[in-house]
Amino acid sequence: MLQRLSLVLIFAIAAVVAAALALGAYLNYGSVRAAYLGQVESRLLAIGKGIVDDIETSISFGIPIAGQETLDPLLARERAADPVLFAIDVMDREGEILHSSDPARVGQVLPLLDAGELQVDLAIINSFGSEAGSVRFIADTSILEHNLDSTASTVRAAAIYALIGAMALALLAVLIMLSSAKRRAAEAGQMAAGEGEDGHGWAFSQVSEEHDRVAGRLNELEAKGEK
Amino acid sequence: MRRLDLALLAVLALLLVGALVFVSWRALDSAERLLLPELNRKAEVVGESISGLFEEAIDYGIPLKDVVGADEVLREALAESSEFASIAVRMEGGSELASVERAGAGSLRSPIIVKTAIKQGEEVVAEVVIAIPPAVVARTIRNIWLDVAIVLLASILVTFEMLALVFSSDVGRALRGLGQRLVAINRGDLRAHTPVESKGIFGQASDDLDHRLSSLAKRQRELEGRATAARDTEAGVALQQLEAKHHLLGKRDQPPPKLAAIRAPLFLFFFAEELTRPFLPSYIASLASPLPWLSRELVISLPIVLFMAIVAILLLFLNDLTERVGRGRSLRAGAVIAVIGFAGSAYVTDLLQLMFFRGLTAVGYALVFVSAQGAIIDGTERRNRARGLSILVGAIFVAALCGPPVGGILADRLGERETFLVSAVLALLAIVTARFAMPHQARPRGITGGARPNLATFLRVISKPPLALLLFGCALPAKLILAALIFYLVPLSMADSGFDQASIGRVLTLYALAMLPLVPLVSRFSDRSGYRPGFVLVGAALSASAIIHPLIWAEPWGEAAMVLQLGVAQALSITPQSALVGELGRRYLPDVPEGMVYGVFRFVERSGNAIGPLIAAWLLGAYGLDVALIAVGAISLIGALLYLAAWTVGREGRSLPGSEGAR
Repeated sequence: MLQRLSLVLIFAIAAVVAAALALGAYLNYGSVRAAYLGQVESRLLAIGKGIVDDIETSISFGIPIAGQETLDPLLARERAADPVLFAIDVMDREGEILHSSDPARVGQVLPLLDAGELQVDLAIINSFGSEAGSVRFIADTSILEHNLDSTASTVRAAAIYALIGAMALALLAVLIMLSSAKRRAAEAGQMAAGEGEDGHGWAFSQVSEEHDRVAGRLNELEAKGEK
Repeated sequence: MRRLDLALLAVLALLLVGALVFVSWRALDSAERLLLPELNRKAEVVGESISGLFEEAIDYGIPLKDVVGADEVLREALAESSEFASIAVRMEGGSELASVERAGAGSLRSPIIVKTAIKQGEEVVAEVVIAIPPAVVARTIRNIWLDVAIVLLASILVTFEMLALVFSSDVGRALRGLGQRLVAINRGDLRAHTPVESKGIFGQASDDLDHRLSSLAKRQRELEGRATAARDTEAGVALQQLEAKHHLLGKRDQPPPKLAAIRAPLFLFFFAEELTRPFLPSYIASLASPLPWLSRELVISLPIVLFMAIVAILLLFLNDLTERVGRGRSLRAGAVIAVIGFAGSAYVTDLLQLMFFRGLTAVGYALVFVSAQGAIIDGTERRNRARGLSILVGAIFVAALCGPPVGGILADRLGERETFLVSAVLALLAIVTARFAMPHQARPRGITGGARPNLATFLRVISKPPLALLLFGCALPAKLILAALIFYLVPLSMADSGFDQASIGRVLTLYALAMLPLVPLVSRFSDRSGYRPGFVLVGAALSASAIIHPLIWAEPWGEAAMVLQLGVAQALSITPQSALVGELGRRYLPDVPEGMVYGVFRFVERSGNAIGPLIAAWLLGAYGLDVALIAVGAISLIGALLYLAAWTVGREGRSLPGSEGAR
């Protein structure tokens, strides 16, 4: 029965500790991931701002976006300089790609990416304050995930080690607790039998002594009464 | 072996803290390796952008020292990059052309420095120097530590509930029972214990101790009889003193140990529902399409109102059914219905579907609640019923404490639909644990809270002004303001202001955090002092005034202070108010069973849960948040003032609504 309790305890503890560690590890990883993607996004915004400034300056000189021929080599250079980038597109208001780091993408109208994929959009504003188009940075998610792999495996390994360590210590705690419980059960048995009442059973001996004293007194009174 | 389960819980809590701190430390270490190079790259990009501007000026023939607006450019760049401590342009030779820094940047030790050259042709004439604080990575991901702390707290509470389940097994019960006996005997408390009904060494040791306690009680009784017969005052006094010190003839009012097992499935079930608390209004909002005759706010409140109304109504009628079908079976059936409700809520595509599945969840919720309450009432006697019912209340409080923050975290990380699925899994686990916790049919004894109030009773109860004022002046507004603020206004207004679900969950948990320690304290103190109307009035006044905080403090602190004060306020009034209902019922309606008076009270109280979000939604849509807050606060205040007026008049006329307790 005791073995069964130990097993049930260990099983319950393992389930709770594993769930807590899994959620804790996931939160840690998720937080690092969000911070990393935020950093990448913020860097892409910084690069994009420079490109948008160049395009807006050209527009103010009367050169439409479609006519800014120097953009294609600039986008290709920026894309080549940053391994995280998959493509940089410059689009008109309708979303048609006019210039791109990848010439094959020019002329396409691309849909929005799925949630979870990283893209950064910056509006191009003309001299009249209206939107003339936009610049879109698309990050290569496979590279981002690859960069995050080492964090994922570090956190996973830490969670596994922590689980093993916690389980070993929990097992030890359960065994110590149960062995102490067994010892105390034996002591309780002795206490119930009227032995070893000096320690925890002080109340038993005190009550028994007082009962004996009162009983002795009543015996004497009753004996006197009978006489 | 003093409270073995608590000792084990303490060890496990330490292990969990250690394990989670270790995981966080490794994650932080790894994050530094990932984020620092990325920050460097960003600093290079920003540096190149700034150097490009200066190089352009040089190309136009403007000497570097004559460039105007350099500080402005740097200030703008620093504002856009919150990770940087300072940006400077340094001339060859070391003199600074321009420099901006954040407060405290000067005292940074060993900052990370990124330099970018400014060239005139091929010659380097200056450089852009960007300083990054070394602790930037820790700062970037420090938000996670709050989440991890919440996961830790929830894990410890879940562990506690799981241990309660384990210790309700045969041998666990015996072990805990033996521990309780040893602790009591060591304190000199020799009252009889509820039998542990278990075999094995622990059961045997408990039985042996029970036998010893019972023989001492028997001898005490016998000696008392002999002392009375012999008219021996001295012996009688000695025996009385012994009884006063050791309570030999008393019986501990513990609920049967087997009953404690019901806490784990209840906790899991209520935890499942509480997970949805922080994101439910915004989830409804994402599905709600505008209706010409209803405001958006009113539409959002509909599933919440429907849920509360179904629960309020079904609580009146389900007791007989669960008694007939069996408490365990009804509880599991309720949890199955709720599983369908949670899972369905995860896949709905419009508001009507959501209302249907939330309605199902409400039916399941009411069934579980009534079955659990019935099982506890079946398994206890009058003397230990309050202790038994504290199992149900404890499960609800603990679930309310860790449900909203964990739900918020899950909704942020996994998504709202996925969190509904987590709720479904938890409700499923509640079914499994209920199978262990309530394996045998509790024998119906016809003494359950089954005194169902009918319309005639309802009218009789509310025809008594002291009871009517307590019910409609205090009980209903208390639940109305609670539901209006916690279930509707706070989560919705915070979500509208852009706060994430985890933050909303953390704010909502403050309510249970205040309630959990205060309720037992207030309950004990109000019982001892007997000054119950005072507690109810102070609680109502505090509830009403809680709405001031969001009007004067910025978000989320105003909301947090309001929720915390509401928790304190409700903790002050909840148990004295409940006790007052019984007292007033006995005084004014002695022929009406107490269960019926309480049935009316619970119905009126829970109606407040349904009305609260509806009123809040209407006011929010029509007049805005401030008016909605002030109005629900005013309802609570007016109710409290009416009760105060009646109480004052009653005290002067010696007919006090509840003042018999104030002695």
